[in-house]
Amino acid sequence: MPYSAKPRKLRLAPTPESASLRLLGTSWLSDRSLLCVVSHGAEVARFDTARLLREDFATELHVVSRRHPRDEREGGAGGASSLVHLRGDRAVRDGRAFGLNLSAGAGSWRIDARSVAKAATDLRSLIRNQFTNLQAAERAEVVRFLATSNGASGDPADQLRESRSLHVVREMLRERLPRCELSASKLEGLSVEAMVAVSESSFYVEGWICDVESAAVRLTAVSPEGTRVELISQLFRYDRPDVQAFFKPTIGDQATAKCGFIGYFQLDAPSRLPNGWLVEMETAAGTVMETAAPPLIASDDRIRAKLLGDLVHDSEDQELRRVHISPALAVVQSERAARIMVERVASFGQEPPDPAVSIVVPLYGRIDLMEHQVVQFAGDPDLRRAELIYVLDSPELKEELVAKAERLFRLYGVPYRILILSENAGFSLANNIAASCARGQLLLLLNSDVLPKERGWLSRMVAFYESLEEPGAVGPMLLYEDDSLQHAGLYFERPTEARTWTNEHYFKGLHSELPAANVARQVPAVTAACLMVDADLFHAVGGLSGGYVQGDYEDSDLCMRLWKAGRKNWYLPQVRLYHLEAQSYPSKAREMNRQYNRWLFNETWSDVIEEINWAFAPPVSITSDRRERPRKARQKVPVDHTVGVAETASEPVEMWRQR
Amino acid sequence: MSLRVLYIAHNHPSIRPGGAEQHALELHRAMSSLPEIESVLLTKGGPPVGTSGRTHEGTFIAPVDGHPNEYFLYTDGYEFDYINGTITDKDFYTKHFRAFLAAIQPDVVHIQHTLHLGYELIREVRNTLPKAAIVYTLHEYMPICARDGQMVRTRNDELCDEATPQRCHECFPHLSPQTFFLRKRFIQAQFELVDLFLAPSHFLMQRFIEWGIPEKKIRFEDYGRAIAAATPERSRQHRTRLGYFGQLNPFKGVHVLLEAMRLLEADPVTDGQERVTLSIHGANLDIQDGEFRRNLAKLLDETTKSVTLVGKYRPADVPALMRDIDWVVVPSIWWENSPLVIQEAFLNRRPVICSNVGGMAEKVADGVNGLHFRVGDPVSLAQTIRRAAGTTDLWDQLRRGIPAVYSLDDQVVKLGGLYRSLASNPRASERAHAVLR
Repeated sequence: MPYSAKPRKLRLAPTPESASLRLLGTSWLSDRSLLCVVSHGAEVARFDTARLLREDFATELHVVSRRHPRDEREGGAGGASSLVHLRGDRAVRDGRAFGLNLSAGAGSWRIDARSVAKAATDLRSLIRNQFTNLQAAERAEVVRFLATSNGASGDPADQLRESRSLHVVREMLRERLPRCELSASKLEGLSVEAMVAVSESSFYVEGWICDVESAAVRLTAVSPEGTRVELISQLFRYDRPDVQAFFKPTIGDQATAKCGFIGYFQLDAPSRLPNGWLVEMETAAGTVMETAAPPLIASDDRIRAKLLGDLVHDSEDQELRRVHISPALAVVQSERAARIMVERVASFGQEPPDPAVSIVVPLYGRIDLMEHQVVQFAGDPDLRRAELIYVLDSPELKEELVAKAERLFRLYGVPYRILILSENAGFSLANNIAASCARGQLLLLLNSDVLPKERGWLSRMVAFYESLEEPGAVGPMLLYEDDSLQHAGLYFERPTEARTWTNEHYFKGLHSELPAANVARQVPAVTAACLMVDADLFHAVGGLSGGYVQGDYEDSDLCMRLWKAGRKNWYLPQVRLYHLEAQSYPSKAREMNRQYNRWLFNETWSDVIEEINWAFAPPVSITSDRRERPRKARQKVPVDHTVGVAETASEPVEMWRQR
Repeated sequence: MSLRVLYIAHNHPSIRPGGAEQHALELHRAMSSLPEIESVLLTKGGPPVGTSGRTHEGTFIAPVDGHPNEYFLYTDGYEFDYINGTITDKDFYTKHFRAFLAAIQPDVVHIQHTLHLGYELIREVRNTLPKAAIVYTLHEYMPICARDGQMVRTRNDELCDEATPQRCHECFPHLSPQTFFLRKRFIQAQFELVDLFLAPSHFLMQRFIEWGIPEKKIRFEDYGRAIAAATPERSRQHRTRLGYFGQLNPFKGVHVLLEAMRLLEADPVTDGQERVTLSIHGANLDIQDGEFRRNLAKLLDETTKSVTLVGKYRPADVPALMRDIDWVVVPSIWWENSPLVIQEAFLNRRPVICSNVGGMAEKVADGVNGLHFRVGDPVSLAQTIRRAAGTTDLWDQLRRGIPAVYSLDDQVVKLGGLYRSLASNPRASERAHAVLR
């Protein structure tokens, strides 16, 4: 027999009492994760508990073990051995000597420190000694075993260490397939163009397959740590004219239909490494190949840009956004919500101890408008009943903002708090975070480009809100700088040729004196540019939804939830503010986002919108779509046009003022 | 009991001449002569009005040429936002200006101008001196109009009647309508803290009332002038000598006057008569835009026979300079307010030929004490000059119609009384402000 570096195994007949255990090799995968290969009695199927022993104390370890794959092949003839993966809750590796204690149903065994030290080796040596001469399937099993026992908890630096160790294992043990070399003369090809880390356990892959010769039957993504996911049946396929053009010289006009693929998939175990993803392809004819994915796209901005950019590839039935993009974006958003927090609070002046209203103003991209708002607030005694919170959603401006806020406070004396977020959170999350810090009974969401027209607006709005039965959201009249209407309530419209409802503003662009725009009444929705809502109610319905991208439809979405909760949304024209609609966002990205937001809103609410819209008379009969009218009786929602006005307006409503 | 008044202006005449700053200085010095009033003048020093900035570390003020009650206020290192009229870093107000106010403790602050310094001067006075009365003299339309307060449109120099966000955007396409909307709200919010506005002409007063200053908060109050002995008049047969006095900038219309002179040279007044001549007394040509300077140089070249560029002058020189003048021409293409030169002309009993708009048309009655011509129109001006020079006895007749000029002595008494009454009566703005703080 050729000399082998493997330690010799004891060949003992399996007896319950005399089964002894020997540590054949052990290596750290990270500071809390240890891989052991042990030989033991044949009656031991699995180890259940383990402890790490030091002079002063013992630490409980989690155990996952499996029989050595070679055991299965040799059928017990060679004795029994197992792979044992031990994991502590905290770091256990500290350079000191230690012993181990393993228990299984059949008994408990102790490995003393000297034996441990003797069997300890670096990971590569352990793998080489124990596993490299296994058959392909057995090696794959080792990789799978280790990959799936990769834990989710613990210190991020240590998790990374473990991932790197698993990657080493994968690289040493995996069966390498032929690398795909793309060539126009080869009729089979595979390319992965993007791999997006939506979270540690969910990923989004994009690329193309050319399988003209024989259809692909397997497309497997392999994480750097070795987890495998079969993708072929869960991919979105679409046309790639550029790929077709590439292969045209060889395949002529034979179409490589839908060679592009996009897939959003989950992993059983988390993956944390930016490099090392592989995708394998196998065709019906048996050809196999693999290709490497480019480094992971991991930053929120780039992830959103990629996902939203892919919307153009979507099919008629919108499968891509429904099955892949939207769920992925939802996960991105919830990761964000879990991760982002208030990094710093800068407080200026004395805020009222029991404010009637908390005003929340998000600042994004520019902070110069804050001064203009503060100047107007300085002259208004109403603001003394309010808590004013500015939340900065552009962390790069934090130094500038805090300096400015301090100087503005010294000059104007308006008290406020500045919340600095740890990262850009987006409109919904920024508002929600600020709202969670607010103490007022009522909440007023206010854009930074909204300026009051005259004093006393806030108390009039509060009085109106408090006079309503079951109020949801209340929005005032908002004007452009030339006194034309920017907002007089929102309604929904569905042009006949489109399937989706869009947000529309009543009477937008008409003069503020228009009589119809000066009636306080219930409306389907109001804009979040200036939106008053009971704070508890806001939190009860979940605040603004994070599924929307960057400032659109979040307000209608909130209003739908309020409606569904039995509340009514109102428009109050007796309170007027200016909304200067200054651009904070770049317009090209904005259009992409708007389209997505509109789809998501419809996907979530189309039946409710139908119901609500028929409760309100359309403002203009031009685009009414009578074909879509539901069979059931039109809902009688009491749309009271005058309730609340006489009680709260300090002067009578002037329906038409002669100029 | 002594009353302390602080005057604030954007420039000191010793650095660069100008109407508003001249008035500020004269008023301050005249007020100082009253025993029961202590007067202090604070003006901006350093760039851009002057060339050299502050010289002492740790302070932003310095006395003017050793005068104990005249100060320069420097803004070195602080950026001025010319659109909104404010210094971006508010520390300037809450540290430096506040320190000055706290040291001087005026009972009345009379602001003559906030250019280069910012409208928040008003707010800071309120913050630091809640009991002080704030008076604000409006010298032109700067709070209304971003084109140097002239209310003349940029596209074709046409006169503007009303500022709206859209119209202002049309004059300044790179600035959005929202920018102008914000500008107006900002300035008006600061103006709310002013107790009384003074308007040197009814025309200007009406403009600002239309813009939004409450009628009860603004009052007509012309510039008071030091009455010196009037220049004697020498008998002459023909009154053909024109004089222009003022800054040489496009809004003052000197180019319109030169074009009229060119027309007159081509076609003299009457045969055998004396040629009409023009003396231009003016300053600040050097700081004007290159194209305007070149145009003016060209016009001067073409009118050498009748036009003399006399150059810079000091206010004290005016009576002597007017000795050799029959008519004073005020050809401004902007509305004007209460041109000091018209008062000077009247003090020296010289009729005025002026544009038929705004403050000029208010101060000079056509056919009574002067003549109007159509604003911006050299042909109309030439015709008017022709009539002025060619009509016998017209000059004498117009001279008789010249009204008395409001004297600085009278103004000082009037303002002294005004300051006292403001300082002793409770003011609505102080009450409101006290509540807010």
